[in-house]
Amino acid sequence: MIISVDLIFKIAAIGILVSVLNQVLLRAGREEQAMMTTLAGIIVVLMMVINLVSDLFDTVKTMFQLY
Amino acid sequence: MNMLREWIITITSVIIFITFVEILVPNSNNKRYVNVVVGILIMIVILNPLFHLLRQDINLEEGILKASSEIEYRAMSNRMDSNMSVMQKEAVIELYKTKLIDQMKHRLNSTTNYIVQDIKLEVEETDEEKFGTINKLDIVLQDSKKPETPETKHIEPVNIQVSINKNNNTAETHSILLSNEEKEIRNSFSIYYDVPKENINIHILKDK
Amino acid sequence: MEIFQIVAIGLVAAVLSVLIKNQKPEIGIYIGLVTGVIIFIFIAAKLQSVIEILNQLANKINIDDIYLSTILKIVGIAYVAEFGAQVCKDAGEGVIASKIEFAGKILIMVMAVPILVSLMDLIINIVP
Repeated sequence: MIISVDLIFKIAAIGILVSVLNQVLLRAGREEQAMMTTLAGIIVVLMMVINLVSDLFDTVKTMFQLY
Repeated sequence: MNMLREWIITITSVIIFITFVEILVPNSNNKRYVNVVVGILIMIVILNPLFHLLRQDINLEEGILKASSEIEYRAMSNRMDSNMSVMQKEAVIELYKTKLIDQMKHRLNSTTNYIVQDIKLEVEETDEEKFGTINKLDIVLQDSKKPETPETKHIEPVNIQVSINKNNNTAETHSILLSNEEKEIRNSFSIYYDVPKENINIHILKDK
Repeated sequence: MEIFQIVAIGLVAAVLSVLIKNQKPEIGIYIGLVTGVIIFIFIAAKLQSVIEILNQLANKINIDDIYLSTILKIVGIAYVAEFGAQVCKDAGEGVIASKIEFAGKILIMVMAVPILVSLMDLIINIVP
């Protein structure tokens, strides 16, 4: 997986987007949908991050011979 | 005089080495543990010549290997005791075997000139008292490309019986006749891992 | 010089993290985590060569392989445990962080104990 710094900006962008949507939905009175978008945002970011973390663990494993 | 000189060189180099390792360690609460182990290492290095003087043999490395494999199979047997299903038991045994095999491969690759092709391991699984001890060991090595071949140049297909019980597993390998290195490896492995010598089989492949 | 790039990434990520944490603390965790991982992977190649140098040095000194390997493993465990614990602390989960650290310590002990025990055995046997 190609790891680049863009990932940080993408996550920040998703965060801002989700928070904006959250506010809008709250003001419009749709609380359940607000909560659901928050949850969806968290899961999307999780998917993006999980490969990266697995990469990290593999790297540390090979480097320190921790099999 | 020579030994004294070597001793002093070893101690100073170990201290330099440790300086580097200390840089590498993160500044956490765990730093103390690294300091402990490093201190013990210094102690061992300093005391080594003393051991050589007082006794003819140095069983330090075997002791460490034995202790660490003992801890591993005690941990494994603790897991056994806690009501696990048979499948999980198999998985833990597999894990233990893989760890042992990795350790052996590492050892062989670094100390001898051979590349390890494969290692097969049989571990005592039924007898409760001797649980975890190694019953049988098959090692297949491959000669790395070295120009100096041993004197015996003739290579013949050899049928080798590879079993302790009577079912006939024959493995046919082109092998050079038993050289001294093989005997050394066999001896050292039988001491380190507590396996009777007849149960260790070493095949050395040489491909053209 | 890589240090500039790393500091730049770190600063940008810190600013973003503060921005997001006010609104969505959950996403803030991810930013911290991801930044840490990216910086580590960035620097991993150099770390690898340092470790190789240590290996060569250890081979020259005639210390047995197992000592260097044990030390390296302990350093690795300490590093990963500290990483995980810090991320949890940043998220406000002190409980989880302390348990991770505890587990790390136990694992380090498991690695260090065989050396200790065999050294003690040897010493006891030396003195008749």
